[in-house]
Amino acid sequence: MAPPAPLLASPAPPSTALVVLDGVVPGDATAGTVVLVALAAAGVFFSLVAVVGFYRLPDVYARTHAASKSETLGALLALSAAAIAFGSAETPKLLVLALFVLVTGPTAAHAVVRSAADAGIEPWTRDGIGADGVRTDGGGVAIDRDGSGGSGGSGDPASSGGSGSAAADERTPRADDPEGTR
Amino acid sequence: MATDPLVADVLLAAATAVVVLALVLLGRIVLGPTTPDRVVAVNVVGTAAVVVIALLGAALDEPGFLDVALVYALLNFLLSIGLAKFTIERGGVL
Repeated sequence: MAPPAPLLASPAPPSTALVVLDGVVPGDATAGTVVLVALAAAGVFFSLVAVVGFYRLPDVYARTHAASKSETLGALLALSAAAIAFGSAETPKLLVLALFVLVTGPTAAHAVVRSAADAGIEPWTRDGIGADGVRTDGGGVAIDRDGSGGSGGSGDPASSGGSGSAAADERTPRADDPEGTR
Repeated sequence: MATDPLVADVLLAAATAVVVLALVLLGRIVLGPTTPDRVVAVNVVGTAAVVVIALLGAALDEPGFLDVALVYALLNFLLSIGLAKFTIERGGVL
């Protein structure tokens, strides 16, 4: 008796995804392939989320929020897909790479955002008016509803963040001990 | 293991999609209102480049690409930290 085809000899009944993949390439659609395709698609999806956030969010802080999390997660998922494709020989190197991306992505975003805050860039608010009554320069939509100067609470009369040194002088708790910010 | 054609096609498609997303992100670098916008966008483009290099290494079965990706990730991190420290006058960003 002739041995049956390898696909039919698989003991477990294949799921629908396996059937679809078997239609594409016969014989080599293992569970690892399915996981790899799912990881690559998820990585591309989260990179897409980061790019959409970069275009739809109003200021640098919100954009960095989108970048440092979505892009890091997308990169980790895509690197996991690459690790599955490489096999166990290259897994330690990819693990080091993924760990490095995981550590340095949010760290770099934090450093850039902190420098932006120290340079006096006002965060975006819903009515387009910052804490000092000046319109925020985040490039967001300015609704300008009723011209109320202080938007809720913290009336810190800081000057408009034109020059970095003037804005840094207004921020008294940070200017008092520059070493304590480390 | 040797990369079979379906896996290679999937990895190449994912790398292509990430390249397209990075090209879309160049628009934010051009029209970003502030310098930190551009720095963060460049950082994300660099991360996308790391991912693309790793995916291409997996698709073409070239393990040497991973060293390139690792060095690129290091340089990307150094770029962001350097520009963040360039913007600020004193104190520290880290």
